Amino acid sequence: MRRDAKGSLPTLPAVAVLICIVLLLITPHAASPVLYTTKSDSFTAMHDRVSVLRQVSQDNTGIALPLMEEIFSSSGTLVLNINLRDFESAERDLDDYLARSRQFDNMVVRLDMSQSDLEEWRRLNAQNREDLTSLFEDTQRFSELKRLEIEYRDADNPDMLYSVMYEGEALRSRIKETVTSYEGRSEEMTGVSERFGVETTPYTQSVDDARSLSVSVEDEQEERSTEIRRVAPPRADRSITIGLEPAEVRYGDILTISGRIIGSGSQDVALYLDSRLLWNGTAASDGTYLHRMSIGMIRTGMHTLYATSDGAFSDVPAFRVIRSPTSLTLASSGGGNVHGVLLSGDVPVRDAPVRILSAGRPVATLTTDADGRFTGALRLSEGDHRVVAAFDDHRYPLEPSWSEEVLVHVPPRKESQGVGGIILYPLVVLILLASLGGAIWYLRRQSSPSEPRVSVMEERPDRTEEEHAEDPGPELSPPTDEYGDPFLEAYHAAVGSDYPAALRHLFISLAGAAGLPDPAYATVGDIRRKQPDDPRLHAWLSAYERVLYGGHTITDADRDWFLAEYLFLREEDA
Amino acid sequence: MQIRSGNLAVSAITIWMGIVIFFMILAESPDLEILFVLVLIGMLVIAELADPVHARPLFLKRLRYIIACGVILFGAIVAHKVLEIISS
Repeated sequence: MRRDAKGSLPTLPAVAVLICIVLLLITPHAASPVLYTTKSDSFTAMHDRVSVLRQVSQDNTGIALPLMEEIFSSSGTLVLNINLRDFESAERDLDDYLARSRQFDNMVVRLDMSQSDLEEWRRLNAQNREDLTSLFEDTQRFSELKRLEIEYRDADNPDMLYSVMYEGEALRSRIKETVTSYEGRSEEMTGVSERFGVETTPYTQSVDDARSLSVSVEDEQEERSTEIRRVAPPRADRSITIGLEPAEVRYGDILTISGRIIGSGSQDVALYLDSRLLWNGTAASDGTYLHRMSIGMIRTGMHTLYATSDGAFSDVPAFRVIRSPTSLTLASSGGGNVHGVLLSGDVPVRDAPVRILSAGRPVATLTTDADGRFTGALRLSEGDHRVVAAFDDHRYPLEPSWSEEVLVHVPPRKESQGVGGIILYPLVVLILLASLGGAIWYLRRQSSPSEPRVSVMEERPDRTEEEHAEDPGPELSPPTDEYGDPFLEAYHAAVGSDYPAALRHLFISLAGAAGLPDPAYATVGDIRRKQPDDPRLHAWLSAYERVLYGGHTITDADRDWFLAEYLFLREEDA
Repeated sequence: MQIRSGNLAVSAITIWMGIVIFFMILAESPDLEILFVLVLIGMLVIAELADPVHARPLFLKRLRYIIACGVILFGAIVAHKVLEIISS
């Protein structure tokens, strides 16, 4: 019975290891079981369990809510710092705000929350993001104009002074437009946020700050225009006109800009879009000029244009760029490659960045060609991956769009050829041989010289004989082989150098004599249990334990006693 | 109740494995290879600590064979990793 109990012991670690491995394997799937989910608990595909879906929505909101509050908080401090003209801090806030917004967008895609109210919040926040980015850039540029105005006034350069004035006009117009857009969205945004229980105070404060910023920019620009017109009155002998067609454009449309130079002088014309040089050209002999601009990478909203020619400045007409919806398709090309098309209606979107996301993480950014097509390889590990394509570049007057999820299979990479391939296999074989050698060394290392290498049925190993032959030692007793007992020989061989080790040989001999199946691995307790009625054997074992584990000092008399008792016990067995 | 050292060693290995799995789940990165290597290290440490000077318990003999197999498997994992690195 006892042997049966001992025999079942090794199954215990095996079972424990198996249980742990099984637990580890099922852990990744525990959160989304394949057979049953709360979402899939419906009898047909035609109906949903509303209570379950509401629960799912609330769970997702719980994850998103802190992030939404952080986004509001960042936007609040951002507008405050812009209003205070602390652009260094505002830039940090903007980076923070953009990072959190992108994190939120990725989360909505990753958690597949596109059907919930969060999608509405995300859409409004995307528009806010564009407005705040624009507000930061325009206000920063507007503040720089003050320095330029002083510089050009000191240099007595009326042309550049007018340029500053027009740029200020353009910026004032855009800031006003941006603030109006930001303010106009606040009611809707606040309503959606309050439905989730998000704290909206920082957001409403940011709307108030943006409004006061717009008012202060208006006042400042009014003052600047009056001052510049007073310092450098416009030329009376020369003027330039400008006209735009149409007043509202979308992505892919053509904006026609035309005008006429009246008066003598140079026929060179420069067009400035949002105070940045758009086109340099020459007017015809009758003074007319024409330029057609294709609407591509330009932000949504109001933009201003003016023309200048030899000290004459035109009016500053504005045109509106309207945001267009986009459609994005994605397909797997095999071999870990994908391809797709980005369209705005029927118009292909060219040179636009399309991000490919796997589990919410970007794995590639591909650029569209003239036909709106994109293709490329993904940096993914071997196996199957679910990926989506996302277009959300706010520099385009285009709405963000996401493709359907696509399964991409990445095949195993081919092993490298050439020199790498030649050294590869020997290296692998070498590593395997090294590990095999390590395992053998580990097993052999455990058999230290102090331990017996014999079993009851085996002859004493050569090593012990060699040690005995090479190092007889002056204290060694002469080998006694009168019983033909290899353990006794081993005892005499080791007694001079390591007495506990020598005694161990006798112990193993007694364990074998007691009938234990594996004497080299027997313990004192095993022998005692095997032969419970032998007091002399028990006395010998107790003394043996004191020497081996108690650290008792051994005298010659003790040694003689151990040997004599051993011989007696062996004789008794025989 | 007397506790055998073999049972103690098995308990220690199981607890160690449980700790490793717990932290893997916590880090949301379960990895069988890392689990195997950490458990092998745990087995090596426990085998060294549980090894008496003169006696040779039977459970240790078996544990050593398991460890030796683990070392060979470890070599196979290293070889696989080398293949992965070179092929990438």
